Amino acid sequence: MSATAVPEASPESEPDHAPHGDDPHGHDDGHGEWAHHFDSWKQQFDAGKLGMWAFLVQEILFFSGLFVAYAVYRMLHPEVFEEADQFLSTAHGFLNTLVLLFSSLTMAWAVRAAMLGQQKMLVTLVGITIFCAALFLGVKSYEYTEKWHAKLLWGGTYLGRSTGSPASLITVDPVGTPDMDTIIERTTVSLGIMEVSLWGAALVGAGLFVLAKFGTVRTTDLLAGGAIAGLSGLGSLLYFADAVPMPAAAAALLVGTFMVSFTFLCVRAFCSEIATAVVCLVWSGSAIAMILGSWSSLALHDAIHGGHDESHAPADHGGEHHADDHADGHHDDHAEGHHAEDEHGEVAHAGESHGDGDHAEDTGHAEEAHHDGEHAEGGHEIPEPDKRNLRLGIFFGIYYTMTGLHAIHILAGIAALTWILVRSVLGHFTPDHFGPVDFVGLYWHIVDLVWIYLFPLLYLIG
Amino acid sequence: MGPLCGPCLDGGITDDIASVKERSAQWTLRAETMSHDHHDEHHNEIAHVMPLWMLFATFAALVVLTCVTVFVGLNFELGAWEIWVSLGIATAKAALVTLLFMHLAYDKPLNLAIFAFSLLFVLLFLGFTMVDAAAYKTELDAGDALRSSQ
Repeated sequence: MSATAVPEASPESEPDHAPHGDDPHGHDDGHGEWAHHFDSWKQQFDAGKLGMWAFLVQEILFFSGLFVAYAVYRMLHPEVFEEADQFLSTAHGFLNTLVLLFSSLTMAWAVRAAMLGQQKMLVTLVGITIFCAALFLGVKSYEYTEKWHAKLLWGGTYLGRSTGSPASLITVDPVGTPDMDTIIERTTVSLGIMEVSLWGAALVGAGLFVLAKFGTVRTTDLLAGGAIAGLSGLGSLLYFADAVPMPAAAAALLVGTFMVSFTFLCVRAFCSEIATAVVCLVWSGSAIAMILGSWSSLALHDAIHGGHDESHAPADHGGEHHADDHADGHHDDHAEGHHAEDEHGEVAHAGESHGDGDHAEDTGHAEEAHHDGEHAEGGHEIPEPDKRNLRLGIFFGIYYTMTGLHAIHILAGIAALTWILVRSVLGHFTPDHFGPVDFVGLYWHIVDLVWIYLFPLLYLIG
Repeated sequence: MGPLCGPCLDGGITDDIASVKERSAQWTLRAETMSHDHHDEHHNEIAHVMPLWMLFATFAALVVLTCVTVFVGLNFELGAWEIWVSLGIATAKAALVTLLFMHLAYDKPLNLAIFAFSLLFVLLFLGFTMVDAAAYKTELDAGDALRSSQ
C-alpha cells in the first residue's frame, strides 16, 4: 500500500509518542515531534511528498504499458475498436466518472481540512471519499456481471488453446449468447446474491461497531468476534468444499459475515477499540455503498431500455409479443445464424431485428431498434454473436486488464483511506503534521486520473 | 496495545478514549492559535491551502468537460479526429486534476518536473512502440487478407 511508505509511519514520528524533552532532536512547543532525521515539519512534509511523487510516477509508467497495448492494438486493428464501444454502457461509465470526480473533490477538500486543523470536516470528507469509492465498485460489479452473463470475456475464455486454431484465442464466445432479457435476468440474480453478502457485511459490521465502541474489554470482544468469524468461516468452507448443500444466498451471507468479523478480529487484536470501531463502520458503509451502486446500475439499465423499447420488457410477456410480431422469417434467421435457438426458445430478441432490413418496416420500434443499434445509445444493446468482430476477444482482454487493474487500485485506495480515517479519528493529524492525508490524497487523484483516460478510450471512442 | 499495530493504525498510542479526546482538544487549540497568528485564517505554515471556491470550480469544470466529451462522442461523427478530440478533453481534465487537486501548481517545481519527465517517458514508450508496430502493419494486413481469402 502506497500510504505505508510515507516516512511519518515510523513510530518515532508520532506526536506525543516520545515524552517531550527526552529526544534531543525534537522540539519543545508541546505539539509533537517530527522524525529525528528531519530538521522541521516542513522538511519532513516535503521529503514525504517527494517520495510519494516518486511512487506515483512509477504508477503512471506501470499503467502506461497497458495504454501502449491499447494504442498498438487499436492502430493495427481499428475495425475492432470502431464497434467495441457498443458493448459498453456509456451511461454507466458516465455515472462512475461523476462518482470518481466527486470523490476527488472530497479528497482534495479533506486535505484542506487537515491543513487547517478541521478534524470533524476531515473525518467526514474522508468518509465520503471511501463511500464513493465503494459506490464506484458497485457500478463496476454490475458491469462485469452483465458482461459475464453476456459471455463477453477475454479472448479464448470458452475455447482455449487446446481446441486448436489461433483464432480461438482472440475470439469471444462465438455461439450461444443469451438474449438481452436473459442476460439482465441472470445479472439480477447474481447481483442479488452479491447484495445478500453485502447486507451481511453491512449488518455484522454495524453490530461489531457497537461491540467495539462499547465493549472495552478486549478479551470479550475477541471471543465474540472470534465466535462469529469461526462459525461463518466454517460454514463458508463447508459450502465451497461441497460438504454441506445450502442456497447460494445463505453461503453469500456467511461469506459477508466472515469477511467483516475476520477483519474485526485482526484489528481488535492489535489496535484500540476506536480503530476497530472505525474499521467496522467502513465495512458497513462500503457494503451499503456497493449495494446502492449495483442496485442503481440495474435501475439505470431499466430506465434506459425499459421505456422506449418493449423488447426489453421481462421475458415472459416479451416472448408473446414478439412471437406475434415477428412470427415469420424471424425464426429462419435465427436458425441459420447459430445454434442459439436452443437457448432462446420462443423468445425473440430485439437485437436481431436491427441487423436485417426486411424487419425494419414491420413495426415502428423495429426501426427504432435499428437506429439505436447503429449509434452507441448508451451502448447496452449487446450485438449478436455473428455481428461481433473476430478479434473482439482482444479488446475485452485489454478492457478487463485496464479496468481490473484500476479497480484493484480503488480497493487499495479504500484500504489506505481507512488507515487515514482511523488516524483522523484518533486525532493524529495537525496543521503541522498532515502529510499522510495529503499523500494518500495524491494517490487517490492518480487513480482518478487513470479513469479520466480510460472512460473515453473504452466507452466512447468508436 | 500489541506491537504490530504501532505504525499501522494507532501509531503506538495508548488505547484509552481520554487521551484521544485530549489530543483532539490540543489540535483544536493549535488550529485556533494558528488562525490568530495569521490574518488569513485559511493558511498553513507548511503548504499552500486551496481556497474552497477553487476546489468547487475545478470540480464543476471537470463535470462540464465530462459532459462535453460524452456529448461529442455520442452525437458527432468525427472519424479520425474523434480520438484526438477525446484525448484532448481528457488531457485538459488531467491537467486540472494534477495542477489544482494535486497542488502541482503550488508545489515545489521539483515535483512538477518529476511528473513531467514521467510523461515524457510515457510518450517515448508509446511513440517508439507504435513506430515499430506501424512498420509491420502492411505485412500484418497482407497476412489477414490472405487468411480471409482462403
